[in-house]
Amino acid sequence: MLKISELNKTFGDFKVLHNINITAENGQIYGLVGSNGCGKTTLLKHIMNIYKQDSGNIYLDEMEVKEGSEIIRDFYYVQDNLFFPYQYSLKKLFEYENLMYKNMSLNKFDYLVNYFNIDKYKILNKMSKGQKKQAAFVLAIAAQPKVLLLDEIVDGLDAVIKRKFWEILIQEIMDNDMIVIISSHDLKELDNICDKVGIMHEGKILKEENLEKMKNEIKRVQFAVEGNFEKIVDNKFNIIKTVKIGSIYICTLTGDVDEFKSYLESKYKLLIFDKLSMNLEEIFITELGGVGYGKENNEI
Amino acid sequence: MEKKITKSSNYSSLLLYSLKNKRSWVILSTVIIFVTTLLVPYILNADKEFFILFGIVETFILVFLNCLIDNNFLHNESKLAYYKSKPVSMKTQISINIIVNIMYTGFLLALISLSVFFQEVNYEIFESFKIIIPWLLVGIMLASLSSILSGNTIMAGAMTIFNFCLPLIIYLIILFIFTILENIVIGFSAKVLMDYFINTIYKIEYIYFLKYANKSIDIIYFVILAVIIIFISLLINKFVKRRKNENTGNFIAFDGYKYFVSVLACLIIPASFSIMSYSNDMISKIIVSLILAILTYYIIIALMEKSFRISMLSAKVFIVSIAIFSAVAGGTVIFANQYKNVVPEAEDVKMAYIGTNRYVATDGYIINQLQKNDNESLNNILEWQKINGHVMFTEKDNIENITDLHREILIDQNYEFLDYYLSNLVIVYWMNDGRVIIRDYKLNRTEQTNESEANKNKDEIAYKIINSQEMKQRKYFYLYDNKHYNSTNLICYVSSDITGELIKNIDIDEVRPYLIKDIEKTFTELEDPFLLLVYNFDFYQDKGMKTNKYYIAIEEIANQNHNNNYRFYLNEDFENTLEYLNLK
Repeated sequence: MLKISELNKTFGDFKVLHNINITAENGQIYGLVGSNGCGKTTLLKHIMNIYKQDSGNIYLDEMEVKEGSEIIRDFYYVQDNLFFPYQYSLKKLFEYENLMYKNMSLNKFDYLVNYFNIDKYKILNKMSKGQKKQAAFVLAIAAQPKVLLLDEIVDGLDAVIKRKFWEILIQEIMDNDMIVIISSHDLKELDNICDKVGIMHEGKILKEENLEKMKNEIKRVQFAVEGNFEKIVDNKFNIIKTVKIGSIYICTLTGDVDEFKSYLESKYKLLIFDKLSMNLEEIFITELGGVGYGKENNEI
Repeated sequence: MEKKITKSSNYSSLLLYSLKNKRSWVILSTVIIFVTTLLVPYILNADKEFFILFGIVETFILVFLNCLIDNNFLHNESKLAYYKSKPVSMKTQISINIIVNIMYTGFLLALISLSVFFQEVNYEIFESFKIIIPWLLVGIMLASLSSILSGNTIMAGAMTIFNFCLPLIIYLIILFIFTILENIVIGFSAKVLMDYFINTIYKIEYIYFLKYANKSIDIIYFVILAVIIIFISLLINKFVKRRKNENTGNFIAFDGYKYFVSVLACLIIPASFSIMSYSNDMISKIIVSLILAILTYYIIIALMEKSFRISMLSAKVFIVSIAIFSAVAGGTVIFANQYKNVVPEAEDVKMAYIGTNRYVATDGYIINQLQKNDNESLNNILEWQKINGHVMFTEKDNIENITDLHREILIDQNYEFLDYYLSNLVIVYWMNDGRVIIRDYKLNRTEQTNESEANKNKDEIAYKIINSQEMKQRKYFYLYDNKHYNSTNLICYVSSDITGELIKNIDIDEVRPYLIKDIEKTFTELEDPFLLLVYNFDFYQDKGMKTNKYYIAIEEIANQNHNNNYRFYLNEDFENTLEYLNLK
């Protein structure tokens, strides 16, 4: 289990991470989502000890992760802005990384090179952005880490390659009980594969929950009533957001939907009432809207 | 219990891997050194030694570039994130870079050595390796340290040079404080204080190994090298742990180091100005120095912070630094001021000197001999003064006269002399308790027509010193000191001062009494004894050159390779000698 506890970091006068608490279980894909500049990459760099936190701790299986710790060998980080040493091919880079990672698998490397159809002798810096991402991913999987951190890994990849990525990743998790933390803006992609999600905004974790549980907690309904719908002041149904589109109201809430329907029926003549499904993107927008980020114009 | 990554199996593999990666640099360097130290001098048939020296300069450049390139992963965010995310600590990566570059340096020096053998140039060039090797070693370490401290590669290069020059910068700042002292408190010379300081406390020649340019390597050489390398290694270790990698891309990665560099730089500029300026106006010097310091600090901070608006913290650091510097400089001035009127009691003085040469007190040999504090060392000093033409007084009467003269100078620093420019007057006392008191006065030239009381007193005391037996014995030991005279082989002849032509050889035993008689007579009839005492009779010879055409040369054969040569320019004062030689 990877546990981040009370992590804080300030860059000069700017607090980039506020009391970050995250827990990711073995065999889990953890989606780290958030607004632009909210600190996702900074958080990943702290996990890898690239940056040092002002306070707080990072643990893997109850062992603290520090610079020089043996357990660092169990981590692998694929950064968004990829770097490869000058004039290195994928094969040469594999040989170099093989000197550092204890579980580096040549069989797996060869299999993945074939699977993604990569020229392992081609100079990495001459590859396209998508090819570079694939090369980095191949090395990460071949290293067989316990914790894999992927920063915007599918950004710029076509749908076929994305699908291949997820297949390999899921297979690895099943085989090795690996913890994967993925930071991405592509919420639709994460929606399909994540077990758990942490939503970040302005250096804080606004919400951390299993994705399914999150989807069950936050509900959305659309309805139409005769006359004007008045905003519910006491908010006993924990209404997060209400949007009016024409004569239809779309309401996001937590709590019992049936009770809400009964309330509407007691107050108004209910013309339409439908339950809508929530995806990760909608949950994300709702959560950030709750803190004033990206408030919609037609919100009442 | 937490397990640490140790320098185990993968350390040697990574080291070997890094060495293999140096292959292209090794090939390139071999070509460069071969072309510049062997091929070009052969084609041009030019000075081979020059091209070997050129090859040494190339070695410095190649090593410097390699160190910066190898450590530049610290200066690029994605590069740093890549290497830092690997299970190899930054300390290990840097130590591998250091070892690889040391091996690469060894290879380059071996190439240079081969060129020296092939070119058959003077093997004495290997003597320079005593300095080059520690400079390269320390340079490699400093390049790594500077790369950690800096956030960009160009700055890392500049900081490597800055850190290498740090002992020199400190030297300059101390000299600046002494220059301030010299301008405020009379009798104190920045040059003397600095010379004494670097000969006794701040041995900068050892720090830069320059002392070994004319000296063979000893245990101290290795101790100094080891201490420097260990010290830099400790700093590397400390700063690697504390480095804020989020500052990658900034000029300097550490705020503290940024201010350290800025403060030192803002002191160097006014220090250089103050040391080079000939103005005696202290107020204007202080104002200009302060303006220069503020301007330098502002420019450096603005560049480093990439903003023309400097932060409050930067301003505070500057104010505090200047306050500390002012306190140190002020404290030194206050401390020295209480000694400016101190003249030691004659009985406490073992040896004294009066003249214009500062180095009699600051010469490393003299300091070394004085530290032994025995009769043999005193004799060694007296022998040294003979070779260097200085007179040091040990007789109590003369020491007392010098202290009296010193008191006169404290009362009045004016002296009337029309024809000669007297720059400074140095008085040195070597005390019985081992202390050395050095005073350096700037005498003011006055051109009054009537002889002043100040002149009169100074001349009276100087007259007594000049006419003392000790003075003559020390100054003209080859004539006056019977023991020396009888134990050495002296050759004497008269030559024309215009053509250098030999007039005649003469018997020293015969001319000696006439020379002594003329010296005695000249000394009793002196017009400006004070000036003559201070000048050590230099212009006495000039006077002879203007009015006479001959000189007597006395050659003392010291050993097979070296002769001591003494001359008397035969002016009208040498009446008896000229008469004896029939040259009147």
